[in-house]
Amino acid sequence: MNLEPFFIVMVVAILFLMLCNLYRVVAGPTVIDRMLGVNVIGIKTTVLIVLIGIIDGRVEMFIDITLAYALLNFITTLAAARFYQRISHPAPSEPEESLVAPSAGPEVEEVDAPAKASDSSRKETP
Amino acid sequence: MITDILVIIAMLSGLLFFVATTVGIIRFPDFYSRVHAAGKGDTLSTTLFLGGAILFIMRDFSGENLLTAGKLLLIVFYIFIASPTATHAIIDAGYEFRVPYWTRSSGKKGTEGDEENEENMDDGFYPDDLKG
Repeated sequence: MNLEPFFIVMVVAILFLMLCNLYRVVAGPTVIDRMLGVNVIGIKTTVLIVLIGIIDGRVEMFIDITLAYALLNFITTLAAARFYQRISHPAPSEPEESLVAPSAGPEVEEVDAPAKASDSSRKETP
Repeated sequence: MITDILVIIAMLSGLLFFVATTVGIIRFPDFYSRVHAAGKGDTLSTTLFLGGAILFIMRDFSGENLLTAGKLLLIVFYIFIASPTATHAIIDAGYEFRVPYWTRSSGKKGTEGDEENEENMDDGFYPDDLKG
């Protein structure tokens, strides 16, 4: 049984589904929705490359491309997710600055800084 | 002959799960439910498709085909681990990004329900250390 027309139909169907997923990438309400759409399209692409390799008759060459693409897709998604997670929480950078600033400055400012702080607190309290 | 029928059955069921994933991603009202659809459907349908490809390659048995099938099995194993991990990372980022979640009132009001969602976010859905 010749299965090549069946594989071509599968490739066209997967391409159509990827086009449908592109709607979520374009019209996603948030950045993370777009990221999800891109991740799903990337997973579909790994299947697509294997099917194209079977149709082409040189699967052993396309398999390596598929493996590299799957690795790349996973790492890209993970990096983008961690990036947006870091952006939504900028809090850890603030205590580091407050810890670094007094030790890096000269000693005179270090003496002055508590006096100014106490002055400002006195002015604010009444 | 039997192998060909198995390949067709595996790939058609894989396509069914791909269609389910796409419909879920387009139609679900909420980010969290979209991630639910994407994480489940993609993993299973990729496994089914690549399993069909393994069956098709192993139709005529040789050493080179065995190596190719082993690499395909490696890809199946990798995606079975990596796809849920990527989905978990995405939903973790969305949770800390405070993506508004769907409620029944926001569904009735349509696109104007976003402000309602912002108010609902303080109602105890998020833990205290995430409220800032």
